[in-house]
Amino acid sequence: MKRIIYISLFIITVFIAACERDPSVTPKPLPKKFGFEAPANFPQPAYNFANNTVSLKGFELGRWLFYDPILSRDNMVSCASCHQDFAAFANLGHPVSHGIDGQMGTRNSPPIFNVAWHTSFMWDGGINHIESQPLAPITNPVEMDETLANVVLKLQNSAEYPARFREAFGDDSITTQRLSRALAQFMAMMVSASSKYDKYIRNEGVTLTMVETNGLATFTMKCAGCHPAPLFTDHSFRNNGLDTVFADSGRELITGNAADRGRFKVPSLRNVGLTGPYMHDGRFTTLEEVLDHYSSGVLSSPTLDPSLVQPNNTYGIPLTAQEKQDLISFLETLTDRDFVNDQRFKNPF
Amino acid sequence: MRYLPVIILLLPLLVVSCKKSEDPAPEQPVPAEQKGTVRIRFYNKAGDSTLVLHTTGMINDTSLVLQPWEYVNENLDTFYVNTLKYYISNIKLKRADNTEFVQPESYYLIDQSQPGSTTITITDVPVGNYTGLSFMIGVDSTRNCSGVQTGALDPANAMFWTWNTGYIFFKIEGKSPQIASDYFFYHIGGFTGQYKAMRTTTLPFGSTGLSIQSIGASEIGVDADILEVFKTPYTIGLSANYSIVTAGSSACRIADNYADMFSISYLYN
Repeated sequence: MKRIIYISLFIITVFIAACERDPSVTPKPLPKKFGFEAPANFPQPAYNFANNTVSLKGFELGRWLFYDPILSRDNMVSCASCHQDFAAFANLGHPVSHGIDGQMGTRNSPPIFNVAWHTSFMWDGGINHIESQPLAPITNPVEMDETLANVVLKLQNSAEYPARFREAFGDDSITTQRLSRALAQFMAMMVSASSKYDKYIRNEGVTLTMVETNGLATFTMKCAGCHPAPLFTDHSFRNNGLDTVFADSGRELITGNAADRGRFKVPSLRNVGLTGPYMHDGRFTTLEEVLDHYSSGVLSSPTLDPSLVQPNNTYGIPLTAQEKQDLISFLETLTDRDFVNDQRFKNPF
Repeated sequence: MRYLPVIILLLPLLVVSCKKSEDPAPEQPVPAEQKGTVRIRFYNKAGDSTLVLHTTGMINDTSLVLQPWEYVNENLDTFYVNTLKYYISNIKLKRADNTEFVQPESYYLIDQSQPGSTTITITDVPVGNYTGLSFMIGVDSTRNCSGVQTGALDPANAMFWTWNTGYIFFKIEGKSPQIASDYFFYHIGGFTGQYKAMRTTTLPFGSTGLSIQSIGASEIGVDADILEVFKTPYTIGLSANYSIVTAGSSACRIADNYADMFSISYLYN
């Protein structure tokens, strides 16, 4: 009897001891869950992830779709045709892009990053939701020239996509909504917030050169009104004096409002060193040309942005040659190599 | 006494087993509100005739006899229709005391080329007497800003502007000898700013009302006269107005015209 008691006591003591945590040992951190993370210095995203939480499989499906020319009528044009990873997903060296059958578009292909913070898309802001964005190039006759119904059919009949959709969404059902949401997950994960400037601002052991610091000061004084950090755009539509008469009416095409004529979306200046040529029609090849435009090339029109009208009724932003050099050096600090080199966003084929 | 240590050792088990929570007392069943079903059948017409879609050829405008698919509008244009599609949404059934049943998730695409699409079946309508029906022609602004959706609201239904996010509320296309380039296209949309093209219509049931019961299905017949697209309050001539495919004042005029194209043709209790 005594032996039974002592053995029972021993076993129970062992169990109690096993349940007590040794406070000197910290628990192993859980592996970081794959998902969207807002940088500390960014505002809240505009996109509501509640109906489309980013998952690894959803992201991967979006990545396949982004690089897959199956979305086009002739199965030769993909999103990546005009949105190149090495150019921060803009179209390097192309004022406007060429789509299916070599047809030319009319506007410069914008880069893709930080889309979760934008409330409208395209140079004229015609698209109000990131999920709806891919529908435009897919159905545009000079871009991919497909119908949404046929894209869904092709995906359904493909060997690989039913399984990928099942992994991403739980069953094989392929719908416009699901392919749009997968692409939205892929694009939303393209967060660019690791430039030299970001690391400097976040005190991550990076210093700016004297020239870059002067450029930042000039930028803050003369450019940040429309291009404020951290996104380097205020999301507004402005006429920055490119023309007196506009071949492309810009925002007016969307709102029907004459006050919006010649207004285009203020682009983010992040990665601007990689995303030339510049402006809605890609008319400026270099950043030097852009700054020369602001200092001496701004043209008047009824909708010219008030911030470009000087008190003495001249137009533009006065900039010395030195200030322009400084600004360009500063703008180069907005290049995010971590983003451009991120293997997760590269072609999976 | 000899077994006291064992009893003490086993006490925790007793405590654990007593901690089991009591099953909650079974809920009193709430008396279920009785629900019924109503069908709304849309009949697309041109005047008194059923609208017959036609896809090929051109109207011989020297002929004195109209084919079954040929129609004449207020402006005396002859034409035929090859496409008619429109959104019916936000359906409500009104009661005498001014309360209403609001159908949740109420979005339907009526497509004259798809016979099944012209009947809307609404289940789970509270039983009782109803005095009228209201609905929106088009899609409310919230759902124009909600990304890519499914079912009737799927952009793959070709009722969605991909370059200027928003639904095409009402689409009618056809051909007329009065038009220099033959074809007319009305894609009526626009949900924001100065030229909103959503329209709501209210159709009273008259003195009989509609009784919805828990067995069977009630039925509402709704006529939609497409000749109204071209009149009241604006008389539309096809030769001058053959392409209205963006939001704006012209689209709103067409919307004002078709807002009164619906009427109740019958009620079955």
